[in-house]
Amino acid sequence: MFLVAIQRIEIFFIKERINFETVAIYFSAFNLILVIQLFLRSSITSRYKLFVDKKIGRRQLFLELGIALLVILVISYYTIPWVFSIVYTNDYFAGITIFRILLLILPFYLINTFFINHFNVINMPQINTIILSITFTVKLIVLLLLNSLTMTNYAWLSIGFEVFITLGFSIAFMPLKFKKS
Amino acid sequence: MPNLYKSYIIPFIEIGAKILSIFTIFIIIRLLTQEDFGQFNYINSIVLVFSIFLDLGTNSKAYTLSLQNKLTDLSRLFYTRIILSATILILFNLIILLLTNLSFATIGVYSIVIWLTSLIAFLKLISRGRGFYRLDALAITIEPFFKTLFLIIVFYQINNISIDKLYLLLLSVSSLSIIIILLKVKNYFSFSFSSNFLNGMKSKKLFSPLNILFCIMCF
Repeated sequence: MFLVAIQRIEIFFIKERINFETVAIYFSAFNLILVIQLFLRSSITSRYKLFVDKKIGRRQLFLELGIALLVILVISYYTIPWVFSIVYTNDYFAGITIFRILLLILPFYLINTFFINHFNVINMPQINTIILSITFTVKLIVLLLLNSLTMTNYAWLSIGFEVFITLGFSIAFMPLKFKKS
Repeated sequence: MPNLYKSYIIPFIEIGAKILSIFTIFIIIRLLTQEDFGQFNYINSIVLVFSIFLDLGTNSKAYTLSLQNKLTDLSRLFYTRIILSATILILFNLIILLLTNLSFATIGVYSIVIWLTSLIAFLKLISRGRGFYRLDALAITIEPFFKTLFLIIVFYQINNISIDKLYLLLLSVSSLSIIIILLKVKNYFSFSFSSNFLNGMKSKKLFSPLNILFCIMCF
């Protein structure tokens, strides 16, 4: 739920500082990203069970998911104008650029979903809460401070904060890994 | 069909229902003007962030209690959840209506829709925990099915709709779904009302650090 809040917080700023039409275009791209995220989340949660049962190793898990992600990224990048022409009306075509930028979120989203699952499984959900609440607060402050952003800037900012979450999880994961070894 | 096989079918039904829900967005985008679609997403985002408080961690608690077959605790949790979430719903609407220029016809109606949807999700998890997979499948599919059906009818009959009317349509879909689910639930289990149902509020999950932290941050 924190992730939902983090992903959607810029919507309030786009509405306040630009207009509803821009919100609509931004969300036309974001809705399609959510479809891909749903697929990635279900892939990682179903594969994670095999990883926990030690039927597959971490390397194999990431290799499989990495290849799947690469295929999704390439196909989505090139087919998106066609998808937009089927799903949306002409008013939303500006969303194609936003969609292509937001595609960069997906590799980090995949890693973050893995970390969130991992910390839940090892009974340390408080790490998820801490990192996601820090990100939420920092993003809120950054959005309050930056006044004149365009729709494209908001998309890049979203990617930046997805990377921020990945870095946070990696820092939290490091000591656990060394402790284990 | 043995329960084991039915339990394998549930994730596929859930993904199917999710795809159906996403499909409805593509109908809505064609029914609304660009400005209305922007407003629709804006209101959705506010209500979705607020919906964290509606759940209050009771869904996972209900699932655990139904797995343990603790029916008395489950009844307490059910009534506690309804009363607490209804109170939060009223407070949320009061705050929004006093502090913003959004109308009750949009955000108020949609918050009720989400309240009913989260209640369906609550009943779905109880059915799953108790192994009533047919009821579980019905709870998963009923709302997306009616939503898609109603929106397709509107799309072919009217072609465009105002945002207020769209929210009323979503409210009627949720109300119809919860009525059908509650009628069906009667055949499987019942919630006995006891005067000490507020004991359910003692549940640790309701006042978990996560909920408290998020409340503080939102304020």
